[in-house]
Amino acid sequence: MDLDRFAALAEAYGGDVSRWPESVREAAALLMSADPAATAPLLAVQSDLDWALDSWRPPAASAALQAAILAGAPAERRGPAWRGWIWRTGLGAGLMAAGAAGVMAGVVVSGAIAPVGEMEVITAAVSAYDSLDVELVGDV
Amino acid sequence: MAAAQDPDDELLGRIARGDPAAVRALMGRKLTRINGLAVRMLGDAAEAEDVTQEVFLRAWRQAPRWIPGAARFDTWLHRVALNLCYDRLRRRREIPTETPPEQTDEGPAPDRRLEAADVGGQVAAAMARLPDRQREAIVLCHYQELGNIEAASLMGVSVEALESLLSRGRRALRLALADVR
Repeated sequence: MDLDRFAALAEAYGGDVSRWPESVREAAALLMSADPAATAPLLAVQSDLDWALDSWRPPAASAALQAAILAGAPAERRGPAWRGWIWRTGLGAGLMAAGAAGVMAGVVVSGAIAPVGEMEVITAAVSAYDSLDVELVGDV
Repeated sequence: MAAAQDPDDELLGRIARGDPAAVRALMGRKLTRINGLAVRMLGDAAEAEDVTQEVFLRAWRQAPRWIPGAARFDTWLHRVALNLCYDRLRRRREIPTETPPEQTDEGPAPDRRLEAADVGGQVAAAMARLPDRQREAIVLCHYQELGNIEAASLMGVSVEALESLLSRGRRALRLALADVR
């Protein structure tokens, strides 16, 4: 890289060599080491302009803009409306409680009639009911 | 593969599924960037907000169709924003207004030798007087910090042509801002 090319790059990309294209940075660094007296003033002039450019800060986006952007976003997907109605009325909680009671009763009865070795299978089956509420409400 | 993955791809997939947290996250990541681009291209905050809103509406519509890995989402977003800005700049030229026509600044007049109390305002005014393509090059490379290849691609020019636009733009700005500092 010669000094003319260095000056052209400084004029295009500014006084901070770390912001120049990666492909020329190494050659620029070599020239800066070899001829600091010639390269430093070229960078200083451009750094002054960089400083001025950086002082122009656009206003922050307004709250109204943010609200409008969010209002236009894809709607959150929810379950069927009747599911919320069931929970609001308390029916869902009742159904869940009844269902859970039934499952537990089944475990007790099974424990009484099943051999000890099969209890682990039954317990594992019951523990799989993580989404018990969904299953029960979904069957209504 | 992982290193080259677009960090926005995952959010777009969630947005397509209607995830409100992903919507907010993408807006938080891009809003200042895109609104800043529009303000600097148009020089008008209200018009810039209109553009920004439209950019995001298009992004929401694009999310379900977005193919991960096919393009960088940030580049696509810039393309949409620039197109919308140019639509408005063209409309300004078609509709005569009180705004003086675009011209290259010849340097500071004596009565403009002000203290640099509002350097930002002076920069904004000087940027507004640049030809559109020079302003676009400076906005993309200096403010948006895009690489030269990406900026040239967005502008549809060679890297050499981009450097020429940057140099002419910066030279004009240096003249216009000679009284600053």
